[in-house]
Amino acid sequence: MKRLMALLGLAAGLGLGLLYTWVLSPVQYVDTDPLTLRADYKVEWMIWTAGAYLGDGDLERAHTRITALGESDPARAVAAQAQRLAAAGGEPESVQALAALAAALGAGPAPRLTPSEPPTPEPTAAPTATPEPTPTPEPSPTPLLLPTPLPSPTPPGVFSFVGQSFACDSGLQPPLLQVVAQDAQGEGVAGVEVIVEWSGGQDRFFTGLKPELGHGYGDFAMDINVAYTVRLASDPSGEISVRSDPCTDAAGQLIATSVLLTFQQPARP
Amino acid sequence: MSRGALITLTAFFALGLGLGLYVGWVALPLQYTDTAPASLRQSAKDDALLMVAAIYTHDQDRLAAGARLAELGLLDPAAEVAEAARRALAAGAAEADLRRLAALAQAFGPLPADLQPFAP
Repeated sequence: MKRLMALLGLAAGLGLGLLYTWVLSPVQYVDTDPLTLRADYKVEWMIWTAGAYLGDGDLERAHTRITALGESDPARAVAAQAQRLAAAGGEPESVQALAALAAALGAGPAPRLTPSEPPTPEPTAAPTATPEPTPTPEPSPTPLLLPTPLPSPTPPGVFSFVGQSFACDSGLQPPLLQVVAQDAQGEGVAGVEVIVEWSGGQDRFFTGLKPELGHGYGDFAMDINVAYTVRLASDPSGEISVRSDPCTDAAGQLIATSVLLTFQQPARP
Repeated sequence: MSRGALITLTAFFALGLGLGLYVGWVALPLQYTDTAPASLRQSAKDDALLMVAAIYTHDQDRLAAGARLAELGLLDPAAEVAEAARRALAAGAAEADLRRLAALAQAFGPLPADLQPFAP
């Protein structure tokens, strides 16, 4: 009897205690950290951070804000978010802000990422097909292009086309359309929108979404033998025709040519 | 029920209640992992306000700033941003931050006299 009473008392007390603490008066989280924010609010926080960085230019503060979300590698986290947002057709201004922040964080002292200059395809192995731009786009079946679809944002400045080079490199397969945007001093510029068009299709991407490859670097996977027209969103008239032709690499393997386009802002007087 | 049984019941009830309170509030409290910006602690909310102010300085989009402030749970943006500016002032914030907050507050109502020195 005594044991039964003990069990009954314990169960009733425990039940009442849990009812009170979990239902009637649960712990109130009114002073939460950004770390506990719901996933979509964390994305928002990241976008706000990037926008604020454009406003105040305080990189250290932006870094602190991103790490407050529990991100151990802010540069990579912001770049990945920019890519996700771009792929989802998010606001171009937000993508650009994130790209600019990712690039800046990649260059800052705190993040672990060590950005390097964009990989310059070695022009040693010349492509077997014509390296010159092809003015007339060819009809193509269904292009298998990969990167990010986007609406067009405001470009961060005027760029001039400096030149192109080709690489017959088995390390760059599928063949890449690589774009490097630089300022007048040769520093990479992030957030430059590049528009790629081909017969029956169009895609866009931004520089700076791969800060580990350089702030001004962006790329796009090409289909072989498809003619593309490339231009910066800031310069609708500056179209450049490119295509990936078959080529034979140093090992004698038949692969496809990658193309590197370089754009640069003119020096200010 | 004997007196002994009643004492046992009461004692174990108290023990159980204590255990329940300990488990519910300390050992296994309800976990909030998907919180909203409105529940942020004051310092984080103030930092978020600074972000909104910096973005507003950059894009001058009052509508978007209002939506962001609403997400932070601000019912009276002008007064609450002004209050955040006062807290920032008391904490020795940089003048640039105070100016941004003042500009944001002013976008939603008249700027209080004590913040006029930071008016844009």
